[in-house]
Amino acid sequence: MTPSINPQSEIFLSNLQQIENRMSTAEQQLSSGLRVSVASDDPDEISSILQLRAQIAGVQQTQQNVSDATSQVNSGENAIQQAIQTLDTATSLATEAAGSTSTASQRLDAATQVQGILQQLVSLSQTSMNGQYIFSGNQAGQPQYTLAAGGNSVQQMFQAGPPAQIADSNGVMITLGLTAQQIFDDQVGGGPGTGNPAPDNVFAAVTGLLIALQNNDSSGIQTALTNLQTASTHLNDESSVYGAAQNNLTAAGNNASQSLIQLQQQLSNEQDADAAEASLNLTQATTDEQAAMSAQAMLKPQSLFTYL
Amino acid sequence: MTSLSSTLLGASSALQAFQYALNVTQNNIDNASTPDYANQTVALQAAPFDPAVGLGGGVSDGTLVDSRDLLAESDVWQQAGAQGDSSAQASALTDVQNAVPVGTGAGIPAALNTFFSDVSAWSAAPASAGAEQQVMVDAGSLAQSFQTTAAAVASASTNISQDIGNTVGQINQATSQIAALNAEIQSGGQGDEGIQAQLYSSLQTLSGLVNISVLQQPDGGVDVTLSSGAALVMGTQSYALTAGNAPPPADSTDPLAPPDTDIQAADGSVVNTHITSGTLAGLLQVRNVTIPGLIGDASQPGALNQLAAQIADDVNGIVSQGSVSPGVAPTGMGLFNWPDPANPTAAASTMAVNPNMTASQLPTIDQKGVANGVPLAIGALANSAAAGLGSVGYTAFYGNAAALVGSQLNQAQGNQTVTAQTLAQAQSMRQTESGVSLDAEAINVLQFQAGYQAIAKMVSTLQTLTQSLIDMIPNAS
Repeated sequence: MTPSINPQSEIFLSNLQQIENRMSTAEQQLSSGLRVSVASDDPDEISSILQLRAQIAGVQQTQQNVSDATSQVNSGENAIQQAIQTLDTATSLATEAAGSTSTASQRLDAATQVQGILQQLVSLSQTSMNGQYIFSGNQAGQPQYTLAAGGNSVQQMFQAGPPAQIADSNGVMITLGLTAQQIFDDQVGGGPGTGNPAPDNVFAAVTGLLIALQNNDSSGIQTALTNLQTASTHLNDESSVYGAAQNNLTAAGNNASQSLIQLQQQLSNEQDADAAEASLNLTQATTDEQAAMSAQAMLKPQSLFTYL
Repeated sequence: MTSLSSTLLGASSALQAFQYALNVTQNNIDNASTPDYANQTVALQAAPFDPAVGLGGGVSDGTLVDSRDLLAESDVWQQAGAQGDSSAQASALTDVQNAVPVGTGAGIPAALNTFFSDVSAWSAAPASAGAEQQVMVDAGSLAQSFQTTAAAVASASTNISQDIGNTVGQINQATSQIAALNAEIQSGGQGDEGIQAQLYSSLQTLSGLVNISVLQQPDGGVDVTLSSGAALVMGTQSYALTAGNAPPPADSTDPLAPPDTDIQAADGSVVNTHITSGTLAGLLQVRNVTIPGLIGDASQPGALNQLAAQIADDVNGIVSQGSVSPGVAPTGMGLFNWPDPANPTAAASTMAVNPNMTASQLPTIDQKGVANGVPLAIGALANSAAAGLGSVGYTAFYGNAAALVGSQLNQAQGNQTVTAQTLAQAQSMRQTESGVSLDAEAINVLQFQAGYQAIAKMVSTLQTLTQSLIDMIPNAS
């Protein structure tokens, strides 16, 4: 519908609407702190903003995972260090028992202590965190090894698959450790389940010592002593795996922190409102509106009839 | 040779002419605010004057002429159509945009982030029953967010379909009114500016609803058609449009898909492609293009359904091949219900967690035996490009779909502002061409007043002269 008296009124209303739109936009930005609240605010940036939010959520979870994994790796590292110390004790017992003056009775006493050491090693292989056995590979719900009846040997409960990994913020996998078999029950060829203990097999070395002591077998004790030293070296090697994992996790944590800052900065640049600019826009739009209103109010419709 | 009486008669006719002109001016002033009223003018015509042969001259009222400018009217109709189109799109797209939220913590993107974050947490604690349970809960929330979003878009679609029905009703009402006004014109209303004002007001209303072609008839009536030539008004007969669901194409692979909306002319022909401006065009654009782009129609699955199906297929592909424990064969069960390939447009609205899947059945070990291979593989989906989605990731795909709606809304809002200006300018131009100028009418009043007063004085003088002549007659008594 066209008002005929003042043809400029439609244009005035249209212009006023534009000013009010600017005010509304500035107010919305100031109240929400966001430049982009809905897709139409900046369609070109929406996909990027959503991806940044997803990346930030992913990196924050990675930080949490790295923190949890660090505890697990530290726990594994501690367990291996304790195992090394335990082997040292076994080595001392073996050295003492290997002496020519050692009697069969003394060796039986030593065997009893070695039984305890074997139990301790099995217990270390059952190290758990939050109910999860950290050396049980892909079956963290149960321990891979238990002490066999009689306490003279170790029983493998299952063949453990590869242990868990976590992804860093770039998606690179970090292996969190080894299985109890890799650490305590190394097999010839390194593969699982060959049934042929490797020379550096921890359980085999201790079990060998135990049997030699019980049998008062001097040469067996000597062999076990050599095996214990080899096993200790193996544990040190495996410990370095955990050391590497700790380093990787530290680096992953640092990377995640840096990524998070960068992503949050980038997201802020893309979606947050510039408060100063929004305030200026609001002030300007308010001034424009007042000016437009005042000017329109002063434009009293005049015609020649007024003067007739 | 003329006489005083003939001169008096001439003056009398002049008084009538000025009175008629004053009537026209008064009518113009009365209708200065009447929508689509065109200013009328009357041209005074001098009567033949030749005293030698007895023609006493004088003035008479000429033909009544309205100042309506069809070019200016046509320009207004065009701008009204553009304004109707952009306004309708802006309004409808706002509803659609609200249905596909992009705000922090809202909708599918937030559900995806939560799901993948907790899958990541699960990957760090693969044997944790709590982590598995949380993933099940998140999967349910993700499926629910797809259902909610699809339902919101479908609801917007329903509302727009209702708006289309209402708009078609308004079009039919306007065409009926125009046909009725044509009938009035044919019944003796020719030249009646009141009828013309109503007629052109209806035409402007109609032009804002749908693009029209107008053919003016000699009697002042109009025939109105769509640009396709489909008749809307022919003389006194109006032809109604109808809106309804489009039947699925014969070669449709998804006959259960949500139907598009068809507009049919009175002859039954589908005229969608000929509706290019006006409110109806804007609504059809959103209803038949934007919304199917999200929830599909007979010719496309829609972005939300594509995304839902891709996520379900990808996650299920991993989960179904995973094992709960080493040596235990995969169950083949998916985390989500497998999408129905026979009904791809229902993937989002029916997305749900597989009811046979429980947290304890959620496998963690992949085919290589890696303890957390399954959650790691699912987690990697968050950042991977899906070939079925045009080689972009899930979040980017959703973002692109939402951005398309936002971009269309942004453009519609921009057009709305521009067309409001151009419509106002076109109306202003029309006002300049055919509107009532009170100043001009005031001049007319002054002019006709002066003429009327002068003639009145002339009549008075003639009366005095006539009285003098009468007084010259001797008194009979």
